[in-house]
Amino acid sequence: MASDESQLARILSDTEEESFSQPVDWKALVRRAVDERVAPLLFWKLAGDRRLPEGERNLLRSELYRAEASNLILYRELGRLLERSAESGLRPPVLLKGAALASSLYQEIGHRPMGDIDVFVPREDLDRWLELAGQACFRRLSPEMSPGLDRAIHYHVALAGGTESEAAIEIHYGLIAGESDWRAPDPRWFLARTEEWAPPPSVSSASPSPARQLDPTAHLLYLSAHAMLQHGGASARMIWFYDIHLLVSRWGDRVRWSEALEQAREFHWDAALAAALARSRGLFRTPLPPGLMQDLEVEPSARGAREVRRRRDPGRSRADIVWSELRAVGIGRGLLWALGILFPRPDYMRWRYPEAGRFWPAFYPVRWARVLREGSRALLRKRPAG
Amino acid sequence: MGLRRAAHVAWRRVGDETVLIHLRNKRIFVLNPSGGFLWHGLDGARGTEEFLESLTLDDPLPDGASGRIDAFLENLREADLVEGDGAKGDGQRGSLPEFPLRTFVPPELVWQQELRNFGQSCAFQAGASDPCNAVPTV
Repeated sequence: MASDESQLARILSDTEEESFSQPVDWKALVRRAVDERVAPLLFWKLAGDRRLPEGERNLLRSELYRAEASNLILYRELGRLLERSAESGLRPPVLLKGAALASSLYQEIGHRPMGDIDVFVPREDLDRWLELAGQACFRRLSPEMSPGLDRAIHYHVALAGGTESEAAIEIHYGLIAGESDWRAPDPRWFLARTEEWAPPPSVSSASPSPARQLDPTAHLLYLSAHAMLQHGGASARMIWFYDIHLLVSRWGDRVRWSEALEQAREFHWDAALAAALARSRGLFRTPLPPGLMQDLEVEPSARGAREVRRRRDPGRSRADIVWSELRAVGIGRGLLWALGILFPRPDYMRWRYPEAGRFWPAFYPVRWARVLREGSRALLRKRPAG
Repeated sequence: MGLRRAAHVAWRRVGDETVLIHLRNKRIFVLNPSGGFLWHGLDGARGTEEFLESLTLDDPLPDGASGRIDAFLENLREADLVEGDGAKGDGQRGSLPEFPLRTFVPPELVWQQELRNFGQSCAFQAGASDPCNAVPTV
């Protein structure tokens, strides 16, 4: 029997007859589709197919409506934020990933589930954006661990709230990692490579406030790095590779491939680009320009390749992840971050351990013990056997 | 005043269906094509009679068509999706698209569900699932 993953991918890439030549475990297939965030797409592909059992059909249908309604709410909140930004004279922001692609690349916004809206703004505009978001009833999701840490090592601020619903918006001032992290690219390169974004017709007002999206070349690079260097192959969802597949299939003629390669090398993202394209091609038979994959294999960045390999390991623990993040930001900022982890501010402690109530200071030793325990376990696992 | 779409409802046409979301209780409702047609005409200026007049059908209206529209509007009211008293409207009518079918099919709410886990994002659950583990909450 073919794996759920390959059967799912074949259906999504319209080669399902190949997939149906083998027995299908519909329950497992649908469960996998929900986990991989491709359930609405699967419903769209199979809505008229009688082989799909009733129970699974209803589950997929429900996922489509859920995605449709969630995205509708998110786009309404985004529309309000954009109106405020236009009124206050801010430069139009750049929408990333699902927020940009659901309406521009997909046939229907509900085909591309989103958990939040990702908005990318120039770093110098961040404070004004946060102020604006506050006026639109958004608040920071979590307090800063220690003063100035966010801007030193992070690349976005997560907000929750909104006028109508408890929506999530992330305001990015960098991409995939903080500025001191070797994985982080120069945001100016991306901010200079954008194009107009068209909001979904029935969501927006008659004269929607402007927003931008990355052009296909920049978006392809970002999507690849997001999947392989920010999250990593082991936890990357199928929908992210479907984004890449659609982008290449539909906008491939607008991708400047030689620039993509050159820039990927400069950012140490070439291994990530190669891995993301290979995964997308493996799953969906994404049509790639001839010779592209061979070109990407010529002297790839060792650092990038190592990181992509490391992030493919499904057995990575929390401690492994935190350790690799600390190393990626360099010694000085890594130390700052480590201190933040061990001695976070009181308001962070109160947020992190709501169950502690007024006994939150007692949770400092709890943190230290946990860091010690998880760190030791990770170290022991790394010791060579025998 | 006739019924009109409630301000706390967002909607969107998806294929031949119309998906509504009640923004306060986060319930999703789906209307069939006839229901979607009526929904778009619920501007406070139309009642059942006006809707019946606006139908362009190949066949004569079946008996009970008026009752089916009344029942549909009542369902919308019970679900708190519309505002107004349902009497004949006196406001300004918005334009109405052509009825999407050649014969009368009763308008219906064909699906209802709760919008669960809205806003389920890594922003809310860092460290709680693999995809959110890029930088786990510590």
